[in-house]
Amino acid sequence: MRPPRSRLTVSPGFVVLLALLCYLDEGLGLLGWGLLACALHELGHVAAVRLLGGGVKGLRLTAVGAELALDGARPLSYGREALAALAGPGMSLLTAGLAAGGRRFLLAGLSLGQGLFNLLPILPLDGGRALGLLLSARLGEDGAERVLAAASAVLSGLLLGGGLILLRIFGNPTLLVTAGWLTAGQLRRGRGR
Amino acid sequence: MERTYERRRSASSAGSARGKRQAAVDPREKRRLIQLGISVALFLLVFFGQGFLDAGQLSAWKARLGQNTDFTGAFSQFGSALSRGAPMKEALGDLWVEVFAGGPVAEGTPCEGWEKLPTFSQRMARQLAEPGDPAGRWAAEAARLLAAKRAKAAAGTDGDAAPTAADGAEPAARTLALRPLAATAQTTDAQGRKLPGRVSLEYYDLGLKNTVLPVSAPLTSGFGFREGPISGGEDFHLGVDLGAAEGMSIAAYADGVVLFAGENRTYGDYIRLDHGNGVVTIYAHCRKLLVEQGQTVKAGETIAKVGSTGDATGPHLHFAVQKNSIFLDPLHYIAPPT
Repeated sequence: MRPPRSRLTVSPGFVVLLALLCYLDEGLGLLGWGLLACALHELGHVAAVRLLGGGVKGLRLTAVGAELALDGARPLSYGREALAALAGPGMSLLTAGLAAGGRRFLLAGLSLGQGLFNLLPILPLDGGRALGLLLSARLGEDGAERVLAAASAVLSGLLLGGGLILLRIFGNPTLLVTAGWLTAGQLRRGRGR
Repeated sequence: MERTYERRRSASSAGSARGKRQAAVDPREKRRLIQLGISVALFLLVFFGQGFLDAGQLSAWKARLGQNTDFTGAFSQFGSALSRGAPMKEALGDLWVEVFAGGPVAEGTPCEGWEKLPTFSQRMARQLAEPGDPAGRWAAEAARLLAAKRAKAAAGTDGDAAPTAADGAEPAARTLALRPLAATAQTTDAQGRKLPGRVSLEYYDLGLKNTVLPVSAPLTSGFGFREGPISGGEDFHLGVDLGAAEGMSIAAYADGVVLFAGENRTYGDYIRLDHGNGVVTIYAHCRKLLVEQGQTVKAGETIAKVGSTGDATGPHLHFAVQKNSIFLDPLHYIAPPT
């Protein structure tokens, strides 16, 4: 029997990122709501995994996002795992609707943005993962991973290019930073395999 | 190199390392704990030491990194689209523009290496600063400008703006020269100087029926290139400053909906109103906000009180006009105080 691992792991990179965001935000005004939106999003995943009959072994927070480790002893089918991947964005959209109704517009906007952004079919994001799982049912896991890795590389390459253009025209680095973050997530994923 | 080695080791010896941990602390784990400790210390330093960290160069870097993009405002506005029932495509477009294509909330856009020439607004400001009859001079100049614009608009040579389908809402207005056009950014001004993104010096018909001067006060800084009052460097002022006294009432420029009422580093307490036709007005540095996000306001309704919150050297109203996210010279659209 394995010793039970701590369920929540925080990487140093995550804390550094948090410090940087806290510095740029001058406190927790925006960051606090952002973290709440993220927490609810992850809660959506965890709840879905549990409801669909799987188990969650741990949640790891890193500089490139949150990773949920599923319990290998209780594997989910591809379809169900894809559903669990989509439950995060689903929860975000639900949060957005409720928050807008309650006139918490910042939380609504952040959740809505997060939900939609995560539906992009790029690999570290939920949309990419769900697509990968659905493709796995047809192409096998390796085939799906290859197709998605290639598609993700192309898409984030395009985003990096777009980011460079926007940086040149408007001096705005936001898209470049976002695309860089996505690329870092893919590289990390590639190394981890 | 070291990292790949470590990774390989972690992959191969994960099981045995775990077994040994109970006896002695794994050096890898120890290193991780040290890293974590350092990063937590960094976080606490930032969290509690904000004020001390903000000195000189660091502050400039921060402004550059944050690009003065108003994420809070942009996302709040995006969220309020849900309850306003605004089309998602439009709301997404607005979010995209505000987050990725330049910060609309930057009061001034820093720029370097431009030869400084006064814009129309600055000439006005200078005239106002001269002794004599400034209000009269403003009125005369504004009347002359307006007449010229009307003539130009009637002749149908309203800039090089292309009409878009989005603005063809009124079929009857299609044939009229004064139909509202979508604003497009200019890249250079009449003197050939490069303009910052999302700015146009052209006159556009805003298509608003009833408009009001937000505060009756002298113009203290116009739209266009100027020396930044806070940064000291050359920047492009994206609105006009009206030197009103602290606590004066700020009136809504026209009928509209409150897109955002809240706080921002540069703008202090500020309000964004949506007047339809893609027209948005901004009221910054307020002392007190009297409206809430999502609320409907009438032209002339008091929405806030003049203050000096945010990056301001004294009480004034920073008033900006946007059409299709392009900043326009507000002096084209406000009548002088009487």
